[in-house]
Amino acid sequence: MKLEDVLAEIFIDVLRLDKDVDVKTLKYRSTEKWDSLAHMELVTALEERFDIMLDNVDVLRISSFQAAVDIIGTKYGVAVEA
Amino acid sequence: MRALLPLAGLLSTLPADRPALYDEDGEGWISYGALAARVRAASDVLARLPRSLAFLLFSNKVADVVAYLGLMSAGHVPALIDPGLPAPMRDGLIARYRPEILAGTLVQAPDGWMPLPGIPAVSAPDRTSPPGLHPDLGLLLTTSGSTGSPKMVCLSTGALAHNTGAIIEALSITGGDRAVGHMPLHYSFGLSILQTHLVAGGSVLLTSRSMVESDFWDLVRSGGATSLSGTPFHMRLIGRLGLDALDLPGIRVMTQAGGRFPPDLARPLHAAMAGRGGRYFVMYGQTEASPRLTTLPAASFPSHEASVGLPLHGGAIDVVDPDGRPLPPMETGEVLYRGPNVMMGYAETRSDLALGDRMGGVLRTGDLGHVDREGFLYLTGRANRFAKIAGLRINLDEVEAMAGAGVRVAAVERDGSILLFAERLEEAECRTLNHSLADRLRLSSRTLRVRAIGALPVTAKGKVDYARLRDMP
Repeated sequence: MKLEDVLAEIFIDVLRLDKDVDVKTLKYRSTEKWDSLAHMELVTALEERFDIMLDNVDVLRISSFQAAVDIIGTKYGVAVEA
Repeated sequence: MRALLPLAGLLSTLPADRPALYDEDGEGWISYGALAARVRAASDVLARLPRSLAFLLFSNKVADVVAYLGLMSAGHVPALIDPGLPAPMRDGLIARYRPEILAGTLVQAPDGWMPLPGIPAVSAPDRTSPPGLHPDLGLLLTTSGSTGSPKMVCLSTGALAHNTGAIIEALSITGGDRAVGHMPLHYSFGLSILQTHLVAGGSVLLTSRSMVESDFWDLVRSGGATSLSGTPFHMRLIGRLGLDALDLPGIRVMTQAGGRFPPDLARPLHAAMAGRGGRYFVMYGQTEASPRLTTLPAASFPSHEASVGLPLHGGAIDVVDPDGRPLPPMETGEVLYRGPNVMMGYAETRSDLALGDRMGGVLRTGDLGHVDREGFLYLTGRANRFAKIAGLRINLDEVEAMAGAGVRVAAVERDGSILLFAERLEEAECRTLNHSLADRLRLSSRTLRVRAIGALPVTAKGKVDYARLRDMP
């Protein structure tokens, strides 16, 4: 499983979205269910799934699905294998 | 003089060049002089209509604040509606209450409604003898912003004005204070921040951004905010991000309300404020009380850190037993509040808006607590959060507390048993928790069940949505 797919599962679960949603379009505020409360649930879910602790700056920077892929993949060196 | 709140008139008495509201959509700072002129213009247009019920879809924008103050000033009765409320729920409320005015920048005029010049508002085409509005009625607030519940809180202008003044006094708000208007203005806590700062001649940075966006913190810093308010959710977030790391030397006042916030988490925030000569206030309120009930003076925090403080000026707290008899200090019972800021009553239909006061200045809060010998109030749970299982009264808040601090849980009563939802627990962990709780409460594993849930549903105010949990399949 690729990192994108794992992240997609987490976003769909936390934001309670349809399974066939185009995750690449997910953005804070423009995605209806992605408000500040949901944001902190996302942060918790990401930290638990990857066993990481996000820096403050990253808590505020994960403002889109793509940002999450970039930050989790590069800065935290998370690579998901089959 | 039909002006219902002295606020609108008061605006023009403040120095005209003093900043009042910050508009993040490009206008920048609006001075008191400019705000007073805009409110007067809106009020002049609105005053041509007979006294009306106005649904205001209140977003955190200067134009919506102008509409709010203009409606008040013209003698209308605004009902503040969450602009994010799904359209079917909003339309249900409109059908039930039949407002003659719809206001707010996000309003889409229904067919036939007439736009009003210069303000984001439309007037109903059909005004055939709407049921009357009681002369004392000044404002309607929803009891549950997110579910579209038809129940509304009726506040008199007197209650609102009194509470605004009492909050200013308790928090010593002055013209030098600059608050951050980030909480929804249709939410009583968010509204009180706007009103208290305007009446005190201070200023408010209105924003639709939230604390999880870096733009929000840039605005707090560059906008010169001195005061930051929030619910336990916001305070927890500030604690996680770190007040030092956020670099907010200008913040000298923090106020927390909207639910219980553990003293362990409040202590560092209080210490940080005290360390820079500032103040941290714990507050307790209900929409039904316009909304503030008590405030813990910042200097009393170290000696009373689990307390929500003392009643505001003009108010009094009684703790009563189930028969309504007052209890002595240190004994737990339901918290009863008396004061001029208590609502007139609830409304469920348009015709209820014709009713006068049916509370007599007394509010049964539904909260359990006690007062100490100095009169400080301590809250311990909800009076109606008791489950009755096999004849036993069990406090659901206590069941939640028993589950421990490591897991977020919510307990509800259903079909004669207690159902405890636990966030992100494995099945085996659920079983372990189920056994240990059932043991401690001396219940069978069928009268107490633990169920895993991805995330607990929350209301618009960030509190656990127990009603939804009770209805979960």
